[in-house]
Amino acid sequence: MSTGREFSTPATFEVRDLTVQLANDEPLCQSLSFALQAGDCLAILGRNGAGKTTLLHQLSGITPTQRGSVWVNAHNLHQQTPRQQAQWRGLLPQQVSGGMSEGLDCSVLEAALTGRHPFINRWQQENEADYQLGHAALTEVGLQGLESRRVNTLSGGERQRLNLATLFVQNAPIMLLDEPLAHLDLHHQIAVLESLQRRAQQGHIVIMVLHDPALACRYCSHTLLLYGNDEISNVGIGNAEFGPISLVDAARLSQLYGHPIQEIRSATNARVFIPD
Amino acid sequence: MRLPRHIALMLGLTSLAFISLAWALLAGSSVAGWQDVWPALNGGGGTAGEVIRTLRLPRALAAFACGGLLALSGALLQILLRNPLADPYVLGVSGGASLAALLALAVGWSGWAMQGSAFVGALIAMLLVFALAHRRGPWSSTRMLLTGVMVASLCSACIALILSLAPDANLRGMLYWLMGDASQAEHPLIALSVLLLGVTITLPLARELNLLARGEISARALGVNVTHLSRWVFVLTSLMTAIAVTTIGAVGFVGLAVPHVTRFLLGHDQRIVLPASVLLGGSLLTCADTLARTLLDPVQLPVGVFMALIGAPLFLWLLSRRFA
Repeated sequence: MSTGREFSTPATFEVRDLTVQLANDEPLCQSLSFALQAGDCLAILGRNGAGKTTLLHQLSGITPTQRGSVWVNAHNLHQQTPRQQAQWRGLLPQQVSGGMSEGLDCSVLEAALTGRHPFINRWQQENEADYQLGHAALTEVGLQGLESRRVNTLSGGERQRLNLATLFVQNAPIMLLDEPLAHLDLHHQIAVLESLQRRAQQGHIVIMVLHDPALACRYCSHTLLLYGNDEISNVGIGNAEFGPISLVDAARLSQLYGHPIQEIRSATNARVFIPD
Repeated sequence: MRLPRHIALMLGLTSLAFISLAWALLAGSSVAGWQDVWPALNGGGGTAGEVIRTLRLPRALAAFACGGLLALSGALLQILLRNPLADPYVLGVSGGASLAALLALAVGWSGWAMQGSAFVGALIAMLLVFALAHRRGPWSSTRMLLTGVMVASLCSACIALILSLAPDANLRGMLYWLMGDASQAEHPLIALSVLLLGVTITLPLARELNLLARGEISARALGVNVTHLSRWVFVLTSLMTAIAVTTIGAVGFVGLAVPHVTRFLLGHDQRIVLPASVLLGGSLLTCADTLARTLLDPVQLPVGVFMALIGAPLFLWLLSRRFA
């Protein structure tokens, strides 16, 4: 569980006039500005190739911006050292297949403990408290008992949950997640979203790329619709819409994905979106 | 990190290092005993002392230092390029050094002149790989690997050309140099100090290297300055390889296999793997060199050949046990 250590002031996250571009291509999104407060949970929705991952990497500070800036607690994120950045924000990268070679593999617990790296000095080792955080995070994602397993013996879903555990061990005020539900079964999808929702309620800011608008409506407070620079959407090049989660409706989603989508209500009155 | 098994294995490796050095001092055609060693190190001991002090000790230390340098470089490069097949020679450093050394031998240079040109050749190859791999766009491990492999094959083509054109009188010296030869290694101090420097620089970086091994994006996300780290590790490994190649010739196998053996035995925490690789690599090369100079005494065999003769079966045995 989150202990709320290492940050006491509620974080704010602000994007000013950000333009995301791949090399010399048309911009994927233009002059994007929005602000989030502690407790907010943002769902980034968009088609494949709309620039969701590129945007998320720029928001996290690991890749430089071409134009515009990202501010955390009134500090320009891109002017901080990598270590300072890592104390403020965590990033769950997209899983790439074959990302790790077999010869260079570590145990599940070691992998989870890497989340403590930004808080441990060069000459220090992980202490008992760090190990406890590691065990707690592994238990939260349901990987208890697998601590000494090699990472490359895990299934895709288990590996994804291990990456989430690492993010929870890091426990940064701002959490950016690239498709956190990839490879997860339905039960674990909901468990992970509930974990993230709990963190938002504790004062974290959660920003995630999702592919399920229904789950976004259920668990997020805000949305960012990235239309990308594809002509099909007819909303102009590099357009993006930011707003409360109520912005998500069948008309916008049809335009966003370039596919007719209708909205229905479940028995519990949850919003569900179905492609025609 | 704090497991008793790790401490025991590290102690074992340290003793192995001392045993290999002691064996290197005692073994040889003019037999020396334990009683000769201490007086010899203090500057006495008559003929046996003289042999130990001026011949065997520098050579044993040079072999140990080069083994350590190559193993440490290999361990670092396998992380930097995130490729288990990476070894110090993959960057073309050895190719450049060998080419320059053979050119020096071909024009009749030897001793310091030859070693100096080997070092210059290693640096030129390293700068070439660095410049080509960085020319456009961001750092990429695949591109660096491919550039290194290409520079290395270019060098070996030139080496083959020189060997086929060289006069017979020079051929034997050239072949010995290519196969690794510690008999020229009279000045171990440079190699030892570079090894010490390498260990001192990399040990504080070990935790960041652990993260880098898990992938570049997640390392960046956890606050590792990947660009700086990669650049410094590249420069350091190139220098360490250049020193090792200059001191002892092109000895293969240590850099590739020793880090793997260490990981089989001790896991994947670089805080353990890096120092353990140094100890194991140094001990193995010292033993190989002692065997190379005593087995067919007075004929001195190239140490590189022995290294692979001992190392490859050992490595295969460990590999089959691990996946059995």
